[in-house]
Amino acid sequence: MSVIVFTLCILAGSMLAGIVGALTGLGGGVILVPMLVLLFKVNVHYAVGASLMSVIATSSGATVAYLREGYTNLRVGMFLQVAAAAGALLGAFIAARIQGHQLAILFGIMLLFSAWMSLRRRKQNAAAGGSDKLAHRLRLSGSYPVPGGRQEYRIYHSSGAFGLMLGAGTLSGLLGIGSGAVKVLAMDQMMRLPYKVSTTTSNFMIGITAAVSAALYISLGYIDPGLTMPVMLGVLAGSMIGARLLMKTRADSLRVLFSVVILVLAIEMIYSGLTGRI
Amino acid sequence: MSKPDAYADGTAVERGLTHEDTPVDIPVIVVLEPSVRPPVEERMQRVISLALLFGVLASAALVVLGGSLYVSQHAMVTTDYAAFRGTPSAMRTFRGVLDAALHFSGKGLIQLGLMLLVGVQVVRVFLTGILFALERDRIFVGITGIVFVLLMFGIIKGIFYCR
Repeated sequence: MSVIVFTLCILAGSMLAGIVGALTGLGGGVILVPMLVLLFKVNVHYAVGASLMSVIATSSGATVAYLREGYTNLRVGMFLQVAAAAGALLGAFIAARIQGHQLAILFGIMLLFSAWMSLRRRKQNAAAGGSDKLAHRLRLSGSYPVPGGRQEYRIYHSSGAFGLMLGAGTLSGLLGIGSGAVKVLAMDQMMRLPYKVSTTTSNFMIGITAAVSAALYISLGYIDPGLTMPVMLGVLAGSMIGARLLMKTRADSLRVLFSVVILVLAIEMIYSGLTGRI
Repeated sequence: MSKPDAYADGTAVERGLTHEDTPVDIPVIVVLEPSVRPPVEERMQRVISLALLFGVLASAALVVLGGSLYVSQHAMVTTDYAAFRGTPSAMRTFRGVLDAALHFSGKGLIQLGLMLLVGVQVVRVFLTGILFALERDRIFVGITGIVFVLLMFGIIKGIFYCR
């Protein structure tokens, strides 16, 4: 394809990925990398690099929107970021030593997990254990705005969430995704943060985690400007559109549909990786 | 739901509702009088938001500018991204990228914009550290410092990375 046709196609595809990512809450990277690899025949390393950059851009944009609303818990975010950043370095380290088709298989496995997580019911947790000593020492608990004042909340299982963040960071550095789902999982289910707090704090964290591995990716040569340019711009535009659409549509029915799509993509990625087509 | 117990200091402790609406015996404290976040935190968050906004816009502007140059200069060149050859070494280091950008290379400008995007995150972490310092939260200045070091490690290790 010529540069101009290629750029326009990638731009369009990335916008679609951004819209879908915003609507499903899964983030653009999940759809983007399979699309680039399977549809546009882009090498996995370039695709992951481009996706990582777009993740930084959208996360920063989202943070600008949400930071001032007062839901983000900066302490929880920074605390968990230690684990996430360390994981991101590990992920980039592994990515540098792994082959494209192996990466594709790993990506497919991650997609399978995502599909499963989207489809299962939210577990009703048993009563939380006693108050978290670490959270208490670090004064992690906070409050968020409610009509008439601020509602405080307590935090639990912070060390467990810390461990989970290591995994989230590694996935982010390895696969070029934001791992927002894992982060929200850790904060929402484990630490018992109110939903809006966990989503905004996760948004805050994602960009920083991705930047850690992106820096390494640039020097590894995984970031190609010709490819990353339309990807970043397309996903950025798409997620802004998707965020607007989110207000107007019912996300639930979409969630099931896209879980099926992700399932199909997962199988394709794993298959292509195994047969060496990538 | 049982009646709230009132305590002498006026706060009410309600039993019953976690954020998942499962009746569990965890007291939820509702602050009755309107309280405000510490003004320092609010102001710093505004600074961080503005820095992020400016950074992302500047980065996007560079990418758009570079992208237009690149596409207009190479519109009919065929692309091949199937094989991985690694971007040329000029596009991997800050020196090389800045040089290319100053010579109006489309790719150089794009790459510069992307590097700026990463740089913005460093600024973000730094400013958050300042926020904690202003709140005299030494533990979190330390924690933010660790994140900063990890971030810089990725960047510096990147600059000196040899394969």
